[in-house]
Amino acid sequence: MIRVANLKKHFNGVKAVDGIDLEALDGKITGLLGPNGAGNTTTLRMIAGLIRPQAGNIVIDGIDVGQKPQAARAVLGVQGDTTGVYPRLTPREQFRYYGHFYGLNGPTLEARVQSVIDLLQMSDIADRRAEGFSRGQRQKVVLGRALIHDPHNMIMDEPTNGLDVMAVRETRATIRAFKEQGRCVLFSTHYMDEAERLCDHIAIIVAGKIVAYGSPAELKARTGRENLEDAFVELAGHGLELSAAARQDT
Amino acid sequence: MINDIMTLLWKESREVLEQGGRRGRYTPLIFLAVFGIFMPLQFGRDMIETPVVLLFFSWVPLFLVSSVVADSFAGERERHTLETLLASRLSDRAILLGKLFTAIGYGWGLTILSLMVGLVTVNVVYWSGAVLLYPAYIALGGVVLSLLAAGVAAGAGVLVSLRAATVRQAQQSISLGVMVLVFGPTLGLQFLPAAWQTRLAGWLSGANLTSVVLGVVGVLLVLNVVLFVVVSARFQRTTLILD
Repeated sequence: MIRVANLKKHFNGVKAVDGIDLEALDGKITGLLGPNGAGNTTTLRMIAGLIRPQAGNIVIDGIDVGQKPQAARAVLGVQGDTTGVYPRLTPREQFRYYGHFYGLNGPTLEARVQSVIDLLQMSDIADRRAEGFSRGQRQKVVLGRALIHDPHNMIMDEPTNGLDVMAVRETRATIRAFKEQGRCVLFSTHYMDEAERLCDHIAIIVAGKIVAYGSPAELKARTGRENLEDAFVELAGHGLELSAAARQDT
Repeated sequence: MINDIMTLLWKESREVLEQGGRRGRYTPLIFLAVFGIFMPLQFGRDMIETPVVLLFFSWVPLFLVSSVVADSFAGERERHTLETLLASRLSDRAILLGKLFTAIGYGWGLTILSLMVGLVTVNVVYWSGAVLLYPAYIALGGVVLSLLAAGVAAGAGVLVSLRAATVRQAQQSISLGVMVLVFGPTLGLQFLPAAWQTRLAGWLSGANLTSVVLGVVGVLLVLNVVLFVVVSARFQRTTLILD
């Protein structure tokens, strides 16, 4: 479980994240929705321990990220918003490489590598150098590296961004599988249909604040809208107005 | 942490040895052919017996290390793999040392290997009935000097690579630094007043070689420590991703 309290991060006076409270539960998929620059990526990076917050605390499975970052990283899998791979290594070698980081060795490591390859259905490319891989194939490598230590918590930053239809379906199926396995999944997306199909809970972030939180059905009911996109536009628009008003006040 | 460093070393070595494709794989062999065979053939026994070889020990690692160290962090940034690496369980120290040791190992290892090949070459071609070996002070001084020179180049290179947006940018800055370091003193001497030049030449010709080598070792050692402290301070995981 990931618990975030009063998280704040400012860049040169700009409030990128401004007091976020959030709980992502085990066996549930929690989505972060927000316009570009709303603070989604910054929030996820702070949870991953890649950026130090100015205030607030993050606890993953009872481990405080600020106090024990290494221990927290050990129970967390991170898929960033980029699909960077090591071009001269095969996916299998990249998984082994990351597996070693988490203390996996010998038959245990090999079994884990194979199970990740099977889970992501990538046996056809597992022993090919990653140079020249498509975006979807690179995405699988990145996801596999994040999964190699079998983390109980997964954070994913726009995991389906730029993928073709087939790859999107595969990725979504993988995210659902994480949920069935009892993992805590926290991911950001700009695709409303994706959020509606996958998420148990959605947090709408605007100008660094969570302006709405609930299940897709609750968010739709709150706004009286029939689809999540309309509900999002209304809630995010309202959030932007509040944010602008707050800026004027100060 | 040793296991983490070894894992990083394995991956980095693969990247280093295979960068530039097939041509990249042959680079160490070309280097060994030039410095281990061609040069010893040209200079003969002097390649082993004269103290000039110590200059070789000190300069060559600079070029070797600078050719690979640019990739250490700028490469991760350019390939967009930095974020996942930093999000892993590895400690800051393990990541940093893994990167440093790879560059040092490459530069130092190839230098030592080329000198050993050179020794074989000279013995085979200029055989005089007895095995010719490097004098002890040259062998010891060379091993230490090349290690420290590789350390300086790796420290400075990692520092540049940490801040560079691309590998090319890092390579340009590092190449410029090496050029200044190698050719700067030679060019600088030209601008010294003639009297100073004469005095310096006199001091050098009369100086004890051991003292000179120890002096250089001391300077390089201090530079290594200073660079390591600076690089460690600069390597902040929580700010690196924003650079």
